[in-house]
Amino acid sequence: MKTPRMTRNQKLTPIIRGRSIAQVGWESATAILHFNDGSVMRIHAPAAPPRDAPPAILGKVRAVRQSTEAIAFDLEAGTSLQVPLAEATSCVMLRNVKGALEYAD
Amino acid sequence: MIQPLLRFSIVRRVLSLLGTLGAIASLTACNRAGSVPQGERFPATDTAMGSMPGDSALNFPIMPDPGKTPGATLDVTEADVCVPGYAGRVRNVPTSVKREAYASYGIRTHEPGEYEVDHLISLKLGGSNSIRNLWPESFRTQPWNAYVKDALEDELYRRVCAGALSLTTAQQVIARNWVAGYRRYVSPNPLPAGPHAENRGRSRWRSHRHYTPRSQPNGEAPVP
Repeated sequence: MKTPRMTRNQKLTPIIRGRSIAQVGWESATAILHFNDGSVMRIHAPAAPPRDAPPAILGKVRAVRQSTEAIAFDLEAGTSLQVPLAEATSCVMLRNVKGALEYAD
Repeated sequence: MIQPLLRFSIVRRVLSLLGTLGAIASLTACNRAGSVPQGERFPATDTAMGSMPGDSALNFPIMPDPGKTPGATLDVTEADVCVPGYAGRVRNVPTSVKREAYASYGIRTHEPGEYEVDHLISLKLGGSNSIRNLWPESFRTQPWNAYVKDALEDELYRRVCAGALSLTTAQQVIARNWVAGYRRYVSPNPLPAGPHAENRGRSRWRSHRHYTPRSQPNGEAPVP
């Protein structure tokens, strides 16, 4: 089966480049990424992660890549945090510390 | 004894009648199915719009198939959408999703300017880029087409941002039956709209005349 190619998300990358992922939580099948500036990103995934899943990788974001099936946050440390998407679009929403919408796809 | 020819005629009439009844039943079912996501469903009877004589004949490409395109929204409020540049911030339909929308409606080929992959609930009314909110909308059908729907979207947006209509209601109006919505909120009959309409002033036509491919977040080539 062909794996969808992950390409750089040109809209989201400049918005969150330099922000650090401080915490990753889950509300059922929605991943909630808390950034160090107070902004919060919600990502709809197909399912909640298994209980024995390793802790999420944290760090400063260098770039965001995305395919129709997953979104990946490339970190400055060289690692990457990948979250599967429930569908190709309409799964990612970012609000700043004041609650204003910064990005949605 | 019924002659074979007469018997055939009777059978054909009965089948025709059953087909008509089936069409009516499916349209009723479609109206019930029209919904926005997050568990919200429209009432089975929309008393605000009432029944529109002649609308039963409407179908794709004038109206989307509610089974394929029920409409889907983002978790946003009036405060989010009534901000300049909002729609541009959330616009993101990869080419692969547009192709999926065409394929789901059985459109294998089309001429430039024949269709656009339209957001049933427009982005500025909080619609999402989900495939459940996308359908190939015709520019060419008359009198109802993409240009006419734009006028409804503009009017609903104006009312929402003026505080005269809730965002949820606007989403329901356009997802349930945009033609009925147009008749209620814009005009009983479609006003001249399209590339050659005078005093149109619509950004869509300007953008078509000066069409420049938008950058795709996923690095894919744009599809109109």
